[in-house]
Amino acid sequence: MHNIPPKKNIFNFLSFQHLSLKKRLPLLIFILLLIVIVSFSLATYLTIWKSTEKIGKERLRSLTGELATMLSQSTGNMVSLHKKTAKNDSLREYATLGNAGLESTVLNLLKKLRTDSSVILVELIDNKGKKLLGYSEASPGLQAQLHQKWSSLLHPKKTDSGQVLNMFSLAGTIYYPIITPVSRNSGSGPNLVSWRQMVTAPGSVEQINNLMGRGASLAIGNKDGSLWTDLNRPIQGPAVAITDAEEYFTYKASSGNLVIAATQPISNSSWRVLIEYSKEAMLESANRFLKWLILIGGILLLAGIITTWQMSSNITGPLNQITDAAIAISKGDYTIPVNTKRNDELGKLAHAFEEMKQQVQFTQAKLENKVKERTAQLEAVNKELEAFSYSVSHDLRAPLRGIIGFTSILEDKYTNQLDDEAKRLTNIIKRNTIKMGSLIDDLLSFSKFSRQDLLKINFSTSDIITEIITDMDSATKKVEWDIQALPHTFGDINSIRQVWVNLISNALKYSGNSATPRIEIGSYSEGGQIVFFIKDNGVGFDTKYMDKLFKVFQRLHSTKEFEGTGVGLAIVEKIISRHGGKVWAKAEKDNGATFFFSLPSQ
Amino acid sequence: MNYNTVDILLVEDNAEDAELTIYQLKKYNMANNLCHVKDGEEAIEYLFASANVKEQNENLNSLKLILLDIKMPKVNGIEVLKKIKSDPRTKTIPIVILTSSKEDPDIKSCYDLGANSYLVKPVNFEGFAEAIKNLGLYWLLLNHPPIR
Repeated sequence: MHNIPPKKNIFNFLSFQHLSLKKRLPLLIFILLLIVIVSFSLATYLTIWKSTEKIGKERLRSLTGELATMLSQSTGNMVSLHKKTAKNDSLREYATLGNAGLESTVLNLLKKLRTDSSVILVELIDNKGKKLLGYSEASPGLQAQLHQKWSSLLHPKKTDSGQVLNMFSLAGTIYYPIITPVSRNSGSGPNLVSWRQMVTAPGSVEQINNLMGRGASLAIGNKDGSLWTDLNRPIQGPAVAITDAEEYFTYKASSGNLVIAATQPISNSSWRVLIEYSKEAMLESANRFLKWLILIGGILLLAGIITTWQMSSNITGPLNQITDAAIAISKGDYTIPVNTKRNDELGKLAHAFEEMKQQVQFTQAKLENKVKERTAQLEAVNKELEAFSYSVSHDLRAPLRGIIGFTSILEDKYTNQLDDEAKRLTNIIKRNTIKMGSLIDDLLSFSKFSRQDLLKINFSTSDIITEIITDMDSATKKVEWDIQALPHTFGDINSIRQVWVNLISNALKYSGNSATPRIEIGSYSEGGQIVFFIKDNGVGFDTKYMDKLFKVFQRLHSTKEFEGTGVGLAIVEKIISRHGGKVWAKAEKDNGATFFFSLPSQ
Repeated sequence: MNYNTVDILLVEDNAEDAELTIYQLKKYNMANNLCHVKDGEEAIEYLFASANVKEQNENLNSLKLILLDIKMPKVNGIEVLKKIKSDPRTKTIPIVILTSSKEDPDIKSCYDLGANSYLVKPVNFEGFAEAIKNLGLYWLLLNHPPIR
């Protein structure tokens, strides 16, 4: 059994075919969970973010509106008071006609305009920019500085409206003018001007900050962007141009944070209010939400992984157990237990497996018993045959001895009364009886070699052959032997010896007639087998009768030519085939024969 | 048969085989004091349980050779061999197994039990005759019998 390697394609890779089930399941579920959680979280977060931003912006806008209204009110108050004073007849008369008698009245009026210490200088300025009258409690130097600013101011176009005009900074302090034309004519004519210092009580600043909430900052600036203030000091203006278009501005504030800002003009002035809202503060709740999402998502993921890991272990555990048990059974070990407590599919599998195991065990035991029985039977039969052929040989030989023995005694005792013919006849009797004895011996031999167990060992082929040749003494005297170096034989030594005895004696017998008998013995290897051969230069045989060569009692020569019973080669064939080899021969009539036999290498 | 100086005891169940053996021995004048018993039981009786004890002892003293067949009814040759070799009165008598069995286990058992020689009766008579002649010459004439 072998694993089929998975096809290398993207689908298989994506479904992790190369991982074990135990890892694959949790991994896939983890990925699934991850995708779900991430996309869900992302979607929710984006929605929350958007709505938070929207709410924040709306709040910003409304805040800006509120503050603009508040500030407009305050500027409005200032301007209306100013206007009222500017409409005063005495003041008008003084300003346009220069009536000196009204000076003290007008001065009083001017003084009244100084409602608090933030009003630095109140003055009447004629259409040429010259100061007609002024009231101040500040230093002359400051007054002069302020008055100087008159020429750089931008005058409002509308005649009867007064306005707060652009702020400006002098030595780090912010001042601004309130201007109201005195006469009804536009553009020309004298103006009433209050120069005020921008100062806001800390209490008010705090109030405003409370109103705005955390993360917001307020700034007031000239509409043309020339100066910005935090209600007390000049500050750096925003990085982008602020216009009145109904818009939100996003930029990096001087603090380095990203801010979103909204603006509103302050009526009755050339100012605008700007509220900056740090994006971080605005989206704080959304970010907090995100952090919670991540935390919960992480916990869910972890819980998911642990659960699926448990689940897959729950499945792969029993599967592995059954697999191990199966492997053990294939090796013959029936002892590995399988958990059968569950009731689900795996439990059923385990039950079925256990049953199967028992069946296999039982069947195997039964088979083994059968084999033992059969083997015992066969052994018994073999023994019987052994005993049978033994007694057969013994009992068959006795009468033969009798025949020959008494015929000889007859010849002996009555030699004078027997003529040559009689003696020839008794010889025939004796000869045939001897032949019968040989036949019995050969048959017994053949039977023995068919039944005997083979005890295979490694032994020296050359030694055996040398023994046999030496034993065969007289017949071998005039033979020329050519024996090559022979490899060891792996087989039953007695049977293989018999093979060589038969083959060598055949070789000797059938080359006995030639003048220079020559017998060659050698070997070669072919296709995992060792082949031995013995070649003689004797009478050979006609290969037409090849198939009879190795059969019992079949002979290719008459007994007159060569004696023999025809069992020798049959025995050779029987022995070699029981070793798992083959026998064959090549020959030519009168040109010798070569006999081959093969044996499987060890 | 009751000869005073039996020198050969032939234990052979086959009458014709016995006749052939005796014929050969006679030919060389070695069968004059031969006693033939027909099976193991008779052999044991002859050697150990004879009615005439005096005669028995004399025979035991004079026996120069026992020719013993293996395959016999009632009590077979191996049993007889065992008995002979285990009795101090008889264990030194030379025993030649003369049988038609050439099975290795038999040969081994016989030598294990102390047989002096093992001959296989061939079918061919000439060989047999020659063997018997040599046998007789050797054990009766050449060999010095053990002293009892």
